[in-house]
Amino acid sequence: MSSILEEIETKIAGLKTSTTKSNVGVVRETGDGVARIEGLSDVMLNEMIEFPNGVYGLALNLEETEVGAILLGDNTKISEGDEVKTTGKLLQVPVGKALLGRVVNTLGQPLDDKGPIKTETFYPLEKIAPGVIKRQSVSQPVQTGIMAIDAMIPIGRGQRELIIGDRATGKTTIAIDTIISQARLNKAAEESGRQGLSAALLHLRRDRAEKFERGARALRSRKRRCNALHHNYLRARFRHGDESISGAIRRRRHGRVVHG
Amino acid sequence: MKINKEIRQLSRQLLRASFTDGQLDRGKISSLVQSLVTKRPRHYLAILENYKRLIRLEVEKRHARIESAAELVSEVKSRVLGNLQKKYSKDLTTEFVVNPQLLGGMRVRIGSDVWDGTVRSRLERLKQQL
Repeated sequence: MSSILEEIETKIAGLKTSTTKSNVGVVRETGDGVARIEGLSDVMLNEMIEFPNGVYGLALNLEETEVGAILLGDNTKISEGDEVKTTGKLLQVPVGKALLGRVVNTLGQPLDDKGPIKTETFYPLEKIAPGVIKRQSVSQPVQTGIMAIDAMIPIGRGQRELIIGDRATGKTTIAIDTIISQARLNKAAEESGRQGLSAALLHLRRDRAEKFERGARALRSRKRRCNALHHNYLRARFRHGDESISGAIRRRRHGRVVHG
Repeated sequence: MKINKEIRQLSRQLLRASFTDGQLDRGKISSLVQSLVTKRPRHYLAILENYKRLIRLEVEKRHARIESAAELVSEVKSRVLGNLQKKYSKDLTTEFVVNPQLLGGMRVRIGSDVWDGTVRSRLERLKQQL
């Protein structure tokens, strides 16, 4: 009798010590938010890849021996030689009512210190949109709350709008004002028993934008310096009796381009 | 050095030529490398580098790295090896490594496949779930 019990016990123990099979790769290089990974022979296109330190990536470029993946997270935590794992899941985000009023990142992880988001359903991020015929036709306007826009530009609910403008002209302000105005309407709707919903997708890379701006400024000033240096050189040659230069200096003074 | 299409194609051809009956042939590889070094075609250094990488990946596919928390008994070693050879191929090379950080169990890596039955990985999975 005891032998049967022992047998069952060993079977249970065997089940508990289950081995997991995974597919791994090694980071070969990383930069500009992209990692190139060697290995990962079973990876799928658009599959989520798990890096160390809780960073995830998305496999986009499948080559013979390498995989190119974009990093969704802090790329400073990734270095060469790190071991990465496939997850077997396509890029997906949590969906449901728990998401209302939350600020989340690309992967649906909370950014607002309000605790974890508890949802049971996940939706793939890359999904084929329903066809034009299937979609509900536009029947309702959207009020931005900005009178000039509401008076002149008809915007339908469900339509896409493009806001173009020079920098610092208030593109983001228009979008945020619209959200605030919609939130007010939603609140009124909620009180009457309906559910309103607004979502904003923001891509804020202020550090990157500032860096770019600084770079452009430095380039402009360097160009100016080069021009001044060239002018000084021509003047020096003229002073040392090189008559052929005089024309060039005159042309420069009159704002024409001189080559050489 | 940037690897262009020509280099990639040539090194792939070299790799294809270095097999005999589905197994890497040491003699063929050395003769191929020798002929490349003597003939010196365009980008031969880059071709050799890429060829080396492809060969390394092929070798890794046929090499099992078995990590365990404690030194395995030779009987267990031979059983593991027998099972792996049954699952993969006969020419599988093995390397047994003792890694106390695994706490217990075994971790087998062949190419990019990993079979993980270590206590450490289970604890980490538990940590993620909690």
